[in-house]
Amino acid sequence: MLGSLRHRLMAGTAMLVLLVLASALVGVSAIRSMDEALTTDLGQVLRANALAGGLLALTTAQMRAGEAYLVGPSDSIAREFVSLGDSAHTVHRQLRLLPETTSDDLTALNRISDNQAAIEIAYARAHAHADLGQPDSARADARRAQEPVDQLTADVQALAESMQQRIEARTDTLRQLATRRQSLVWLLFIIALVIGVVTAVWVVQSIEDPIARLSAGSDRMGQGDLRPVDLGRMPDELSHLGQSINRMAGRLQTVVEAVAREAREVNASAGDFSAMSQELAASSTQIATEMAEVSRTAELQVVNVKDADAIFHEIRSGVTRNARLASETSDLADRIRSIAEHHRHSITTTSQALQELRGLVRTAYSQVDTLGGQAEQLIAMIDRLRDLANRSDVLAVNAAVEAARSTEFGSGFGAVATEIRTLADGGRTSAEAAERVGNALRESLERTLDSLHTGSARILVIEGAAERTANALLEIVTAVEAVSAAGSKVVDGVHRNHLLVNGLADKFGEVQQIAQQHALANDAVAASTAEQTASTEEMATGATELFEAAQRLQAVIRDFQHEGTPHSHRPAPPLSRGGAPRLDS
Amino acid sequence: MFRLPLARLLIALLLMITGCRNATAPITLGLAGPLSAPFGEPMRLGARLAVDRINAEGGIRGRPLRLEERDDHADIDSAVAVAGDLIATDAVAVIGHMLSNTTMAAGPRYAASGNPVALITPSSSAPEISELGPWVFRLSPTDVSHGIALALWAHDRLGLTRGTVLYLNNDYGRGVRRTFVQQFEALGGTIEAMVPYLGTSPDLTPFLDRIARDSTSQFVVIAGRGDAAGGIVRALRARGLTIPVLGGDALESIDRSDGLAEGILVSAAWLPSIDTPANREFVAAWKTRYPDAREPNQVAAATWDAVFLLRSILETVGTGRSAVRDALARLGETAPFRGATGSIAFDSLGDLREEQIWMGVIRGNSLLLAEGQ
Repeated sequence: MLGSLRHRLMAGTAMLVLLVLASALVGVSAIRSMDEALTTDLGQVLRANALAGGLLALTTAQMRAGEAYLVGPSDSIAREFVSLGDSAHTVHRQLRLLPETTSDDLTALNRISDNQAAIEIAYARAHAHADLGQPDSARADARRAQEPVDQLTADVQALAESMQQRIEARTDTLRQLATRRQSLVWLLFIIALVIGVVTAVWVVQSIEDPIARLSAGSDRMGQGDLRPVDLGRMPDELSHLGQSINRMAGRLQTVVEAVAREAREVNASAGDFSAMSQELAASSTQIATEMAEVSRTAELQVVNVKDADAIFHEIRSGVTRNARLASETSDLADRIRSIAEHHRHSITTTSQALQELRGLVRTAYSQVDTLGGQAEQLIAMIDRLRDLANRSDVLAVNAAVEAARSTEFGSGFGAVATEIRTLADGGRTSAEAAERVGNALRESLERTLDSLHTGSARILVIEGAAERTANALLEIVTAVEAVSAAGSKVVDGVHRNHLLVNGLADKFGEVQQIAQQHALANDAVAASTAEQTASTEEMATGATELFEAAQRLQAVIRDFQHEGTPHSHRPAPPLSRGGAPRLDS
Repeated sequence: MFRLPLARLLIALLLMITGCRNATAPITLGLAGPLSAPFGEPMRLGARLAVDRINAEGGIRGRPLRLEERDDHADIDSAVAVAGDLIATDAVAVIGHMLSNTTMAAGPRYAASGNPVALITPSSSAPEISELGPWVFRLSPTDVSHGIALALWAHDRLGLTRGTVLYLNNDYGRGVRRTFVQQFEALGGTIEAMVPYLGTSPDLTPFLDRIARDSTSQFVVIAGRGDAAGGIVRALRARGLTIPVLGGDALESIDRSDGLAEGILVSAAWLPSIDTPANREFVAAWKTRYPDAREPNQVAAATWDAVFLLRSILETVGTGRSAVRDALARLGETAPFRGATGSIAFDSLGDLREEQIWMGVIRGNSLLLAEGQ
């Protein structure tokens, strides 16, 4: 139950707390009860005193009113006299109703009330005598009031004293109660103190003895005896601690053996290590030399990179210019294509107009040719007309001949023959004129035909020229489109080239930074190499020192093992409770 | 292991014996008042009449009722002493005191003891009785009701406007005087003088001479008991003053032998002529039992009622003092008690919830209901 220090401390503390709480409760209870009693009693005292004082004041005032009536009677004074009496009787009732009023108090109050009534009656009689004009009787009645007044005053004072005595008795009771409570609180405090001291001593002893044993065991282990310590009976926490120390001793034993073994190995290898360190120092020096060369090369690389960067800047500016020219060329090709398209369209329109004109010429030619045919027919008709005229002339000659042979009939006939001959002459003239016209027409037609032929031929020539021009323009457009496409490709290529150049420039910048860092790293490597060289030299020195330390460690372990009894896990003999163990037992 | 059951057995036997004894033991009721005085006799007779009636009917659950009578002589000191005595008895309740001043004096004693007991006063009418706490109850209207009834009767019914008040200078007399004067002056009347007196034979010569000389008072109110009122009325009449005399319920006991009390108007909380079954039963029982006595008065009727009221409560809640008090306080929560004096139920101050005042007029030896009610 109380096997551990924690439980022992908790138990002791709990007992202390409980006792302190009990003391506090008793104290608080005592203070509270006394406070309540004091409040109640003080309130009663104050109220009783106030009532008693008020009663005496009212009685005095009533007597004063009674006397005033005797000096100068008035209804208001009489009313005041009665009213003061009523108030005094009210105070009597209030005094009766006070708590803890005894039978003696009530009897005293009854006497007070009777005397109050007697005073009132005495003055009432005095007033009546005064009203009746009997001042002597009135004065005699007033004097009769003095006795009950004295009795009333004495009773009121006695009542107040009685109440005061009760309060004092109550106060004594409270004082005794307070004294008892105080004694109880002191008793509880002393008990708490004793328990606290006992608990503290008990707990301290519970800690001190086991710690002394543990300390002795630790000292023995410190001197090399790593055998387990016999702990005996002790608190749980310290028992755990002792077991931990025993476990630690066992492990320490193992560690010591391992260290001794390793020390021997270290001793053996420390020499090799020292030699290797020296070799390493030499190689480090060589590495430092090589690294200095590398650093110098890196610096040259940085310079070259900077030059390449300048050239690269020029390339980038050239590419930028090419891009701009390609863009301008593309724009120019677009304009040329636009103009060529425009002209090709005009030529196509002209060619169409020429074709139409040629059609018209052909039509005209056909019409002229038809007209030529008709002119030929006209000329043929003219020829037949002339033939007819000729034959009419022949006929007329024949008719004239016949008329001449003939008689009278012959004269008529001869007139007809004349007419025929005239007609024949006219026909022949017309035929001749028509023939001339027909000839002129034919010649005109022939010329027209010739002109049409010529015009048609020229139109054909123009058409051919226009067609060729159109073809040429088409070729120009095609070529220009090819140029434009090539320009666009050039622009795209230039753009991509520009991007590539920019990317290349960025990469180149990075390369430059890397080269610079490389150079710096080379410097650092060179410095590190130098440090390594120094460290290697120090390591070589340390290896030497390690070698020496390993030898010293070997010596120490040898000494440690000689003092204790390593390799044995037999428990050590029990430790005495009061001091260090006897290690030689 | 052995003694404990034996002790239990002995205790159980003792309880059984005690219980058997209690099962037939009488139940005690305290009775406190001026029992030896003439004006206190109706209280004693009324209580005995009721107790005898109940016991004749078999008592309360087979237990007879018993009266523990104490005479306070109408004296406040005696009343306080009586209270101490009665608290010490096994009385389950006390009926008393009769007068307001004795009740006022002794009332706190009943409530302040370590084993308080309920006090039922049949006739104390001072308003201050209400201040005595939860252990005091009363079966009569307060002086406020009496004073108001008297003032209304004098001013409104009789048409009187100026008067003089003669009052017994105790809680009762002052209570009736105060409430009457307040109400009468509120109605427009004038009170010429308020004259205190004490005792049963007060010398009121200068006061009465003043009334006779001035001859302006149209009436006189006597706020006191009947024992002194007889001499006062005689003194008034001797001076040739025939003005009306009015008074509170305590005036009912005035000496009527010389006929001078004839026509005196009395405010009464009870009259024999009230026609209710309970009242008829009471009056009949009284006349049967006391054929030669005076007519019963309010004190007798209220005392009778108090005994029967306690019987009904004791049958219900047993004989514990606190239980009886609590039952009295709860009275009327379901139905009020119907007694000779009327409906009985208490408010939080222990006063009657329903107060009824009658105006009686003394005719011969009787107190009759005044005309006009």
